[in-house]
Amino acid sequence: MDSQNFPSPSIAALERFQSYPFADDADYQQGLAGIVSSGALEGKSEDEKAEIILGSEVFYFNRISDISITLDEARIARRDFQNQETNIASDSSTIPLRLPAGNQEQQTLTFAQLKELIEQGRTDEIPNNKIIPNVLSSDTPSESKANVRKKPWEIQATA
Amino acid sequence: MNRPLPGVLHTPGFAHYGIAWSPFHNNRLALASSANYGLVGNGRLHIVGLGLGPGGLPQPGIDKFYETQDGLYDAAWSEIHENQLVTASGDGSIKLWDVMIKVGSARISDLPIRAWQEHTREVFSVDWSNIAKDQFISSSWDGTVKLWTPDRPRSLTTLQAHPSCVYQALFSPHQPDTVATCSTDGTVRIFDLRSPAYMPSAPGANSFTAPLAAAALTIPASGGEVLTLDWNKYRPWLLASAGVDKAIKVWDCRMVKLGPDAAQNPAVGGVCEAHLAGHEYAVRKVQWSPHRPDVIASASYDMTCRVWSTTPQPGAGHLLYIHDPHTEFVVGCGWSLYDEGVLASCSWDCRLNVFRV
Repeated sequence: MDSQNFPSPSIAALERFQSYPFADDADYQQGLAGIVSSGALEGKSEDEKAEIILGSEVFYFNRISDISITLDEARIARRDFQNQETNIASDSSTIPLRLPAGNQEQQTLTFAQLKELIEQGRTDEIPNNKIIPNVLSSDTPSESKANVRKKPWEIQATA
Repeated sequence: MNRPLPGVLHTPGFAHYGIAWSPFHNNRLALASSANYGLVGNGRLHIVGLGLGPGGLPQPGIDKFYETQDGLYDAAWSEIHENQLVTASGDGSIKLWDVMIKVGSARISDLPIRAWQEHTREVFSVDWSNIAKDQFISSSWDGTVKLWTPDRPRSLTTLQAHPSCVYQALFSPHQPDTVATCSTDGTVRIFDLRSPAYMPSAPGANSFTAPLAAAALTIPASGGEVLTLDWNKYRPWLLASAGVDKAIKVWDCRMVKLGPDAAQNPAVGGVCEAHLAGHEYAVRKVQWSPHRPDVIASASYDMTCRVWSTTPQPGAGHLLYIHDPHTEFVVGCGWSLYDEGVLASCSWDCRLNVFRV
């Protein structure tokens, strides 16, 4: 691609960053798992956590691609998408939650289509088959405040 | 008669496997699900809140969800911590979640607070004890049942319960340390966790196969796979079982003897007290009412969820109610613990229905 005609970085580069499947990239997820398990997100606010994660994405993207974008540019590229996400999440009790990033998420395969993809070894085309980091949360679990409730049969037995 | 439409929650791409109502919050339940029919791909644990829908019916909505590497087959809420629950996964893992922990980025999944990896095959059920409230059990296709407590990194006990898949294991709601299991092998078994012992070796048995734990009682429940069971909440030794033979059977097991003697003389028996026929395909889940000793719900591959009475009125049949809006296998059903008569069903059609019976 000829990027000479654009100011650096090109719109195309930002688009590539925005659409990069971080969730499906095993190397990236492994790196991210390392960041999480190191406790780097511990005690941070939601915004701070998002910044750290975005920073890790920019670092990784610049390393594996032939282009270089800055954190500010990445922030701008991501902004519209982020806004969409938070609007939906905040109202999730009434509206069915829209599934997060990745256009393949909404896709549902028939049993036969699925069987064919598995048999042909094309598992990368199967939706909802991404890498989830196998690490534990470094946050402190919540404290229990509620009293144990009696079950209906326990109430009747003591009545 | 027109029935009110159920409250429906749709989770596209994620077929359901199990429902668990919170023992603390009237309007909260957990939904275990798997992508791609559980064959390949991720799992998702949905935390569902119930609002007030049209006609006063509970309207389910997703409060949050957790993603897992492999499909999820079951979930159970802690009986001592209102924010915590465990899940059973296809990769053999068991994970403990705290619903108050939130990483909160669109780019990273929220994480479990503990994980255990001992089962060598799919974990198909988890159940939290209502008596020893710091314990839960898991059952697996590896033939074992394991006893756990959240604070220990390893299981407390492992029972080699069956020679094949253990589809469900449940604590007795009345008798401490007593667990019932059901399996591919067609039996329902009752184990006394205080008296672990192995079956006397049968003649010709070899030392290459794992010895089976001695059951206090073995019920030859079916010629086919037994997929589900439940303890009656009001009659301590009454069990229901169901599976591939399509029937729900109710077993009086009062003849069971617990303790060390029983382990030396494993009994076979169970008196079949009721036989509820009507489902057209395998029954995947049964659950007794928390409020009534004679009412039981069932979920079936025939795409219906049904409610039955074991003591019908004269002239009436056992069947009380059929819920049939699902368009795929119905694999789970669960009674609200505190709102009498409210039942939830979940299905491979990726829909959770909540309705009043």
